[in-house]
Amino acid sequence: MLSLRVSLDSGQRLNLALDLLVVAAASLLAAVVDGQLHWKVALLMAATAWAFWMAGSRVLLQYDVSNGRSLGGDLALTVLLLLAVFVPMALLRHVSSHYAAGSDIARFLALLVPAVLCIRLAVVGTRLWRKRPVDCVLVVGAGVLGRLTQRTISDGRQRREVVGHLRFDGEDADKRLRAPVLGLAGEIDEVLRGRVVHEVYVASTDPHHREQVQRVVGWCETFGVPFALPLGGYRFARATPAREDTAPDGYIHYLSVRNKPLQLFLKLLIDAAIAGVALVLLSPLLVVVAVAIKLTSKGPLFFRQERVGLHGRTFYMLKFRSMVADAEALKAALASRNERTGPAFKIARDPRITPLGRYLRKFSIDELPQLLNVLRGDMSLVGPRPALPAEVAQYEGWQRRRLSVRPGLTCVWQVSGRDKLSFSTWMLLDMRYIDHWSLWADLRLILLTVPVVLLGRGAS
Amino acid sequence: MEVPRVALVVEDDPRLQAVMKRHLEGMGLRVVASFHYRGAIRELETATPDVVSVDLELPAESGYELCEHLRRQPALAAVPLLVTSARAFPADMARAEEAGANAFLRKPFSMGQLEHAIHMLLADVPAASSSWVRRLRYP
Repeated sequence: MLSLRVSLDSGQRLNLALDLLVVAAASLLAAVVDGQLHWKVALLMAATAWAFWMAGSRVLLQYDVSNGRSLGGDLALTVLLLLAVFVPMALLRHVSSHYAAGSDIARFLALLVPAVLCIRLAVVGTRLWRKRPVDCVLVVGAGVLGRLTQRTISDGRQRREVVGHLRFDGEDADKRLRAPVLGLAGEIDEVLRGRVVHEVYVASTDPHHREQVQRVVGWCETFGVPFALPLGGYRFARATPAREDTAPDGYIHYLSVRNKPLQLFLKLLIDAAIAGVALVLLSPLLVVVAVAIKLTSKGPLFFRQERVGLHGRTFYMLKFRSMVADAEALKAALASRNERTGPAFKIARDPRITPLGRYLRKFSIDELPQLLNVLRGDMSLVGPRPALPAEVAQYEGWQRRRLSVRPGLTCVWQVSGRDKLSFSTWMLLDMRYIDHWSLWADLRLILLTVPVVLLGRGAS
Repeated sequence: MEVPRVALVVEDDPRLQAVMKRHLEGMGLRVVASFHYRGAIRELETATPDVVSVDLELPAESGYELCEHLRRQPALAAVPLLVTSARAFPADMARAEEAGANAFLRKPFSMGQLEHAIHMLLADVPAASSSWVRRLRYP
């Protein structure tokens, strides 16, 4: 039913195998009472735990590394998964008398949680970091410092990879570079448009490059891409920065979005908590809607669309299908009727929408599966709506700054008249949100979204 | 009998210097050691090393000065030069490379890592750098 294609590479398969082994071991140990192993209980526990573990990990894309989760995010997801296993087991105990006693389940969980988390931290985490670097770094500078910076970033346990260098005008590319030279420093805007870059390192201390560095800094700020400048072009025989965290790798790191690490961390926690609780509370509605969609029209349950996420990395956004199955193919024929300015596409009475779809859209029920995207870490509850790749390709430079934060279910635009706004007003509202973001503003937006959705205002 | 090759070790920490000396002698090298720049210059009047290891943080003149001094002497301009330092940011390695270093060994290092670096420099074959030993340029 869920069209969530997951292809696992060898590292992920090892990961899954380890987790399932730990689940089995925890079941066995939990079923030992008074020095005696109760096989039936152990098998039942392991079987249910495996089933829920597999289902949960598929839905949450636990074993998919392509969505750029950090180790912290991975651990948070693992805890969610453990809960997804524990809750049904605790419920099953009340249903069947053959099932394990409460103390067994408690012991099962007490054994399982630390074991899984430790394995993830110590074995899988480090393996995955080496296996597939997730954060992409662009090094501006193809000289000696550029080469040494690339080597330092690429080795060790860092979860980062240098995707390429840009050469300064008048600089000779070092012959021992390991990453390709993608162009000139002056072409950074085009390079940043074309690929996912999480941070730009400016690897030059040459005063002749000053103007070019200034332009690079300007583009990074415009696009909202974090960048790093070298600490200095001087020799230090003994001096070190007074504060050790000034330049952890010899570079001073800059962000173009407000740096609120504590609030950002809380935001991630709140996202996971609210999305998880909402999914549980809404599950009866979701089941009814799913059945209704399947009964009233042909085609899949979900509409799975590629959208642009944080730093330009794409992900699949989930919606309940509200249009006929071949809606994307019909879009071109309707292009002349587009009512939006700019790259976005929307028609008030779109003939592709099914009758049921109209209701789903009016009350934004079609958007609810995105709670799964929130749990997966693709999206947040509050943030600029994720755009289509084709829309992003048409963005002006400053509009790309939308990609410097995690996209969300709702944002300023959604609670302020929604479809009545022009494209550029929408973009400006999003920028205002990004530049003045705070946890309190987020909570306010969530509260403001609730009546808009319940009253069916705004959406067409 | 083959004449042993000579290593010059300039390191201001006496304990580390002693351990390095013992270890390099174990590799079959004859070791000349000094605690500072001036001592190293004095040693260089009588000995012509086949490999040099310099700490960047020395009591008076820094290791950078010693690197540049070596590179100015025609007889020593090509001697393989290893720089050791606790400061190992890319910019520091770039400065060391400019001063003439061939490899960079981040402190604290193990004797195995030192051995790897010295082998790399003496063997004249392109041995792999590691995250500790960074090959800067070939002698």
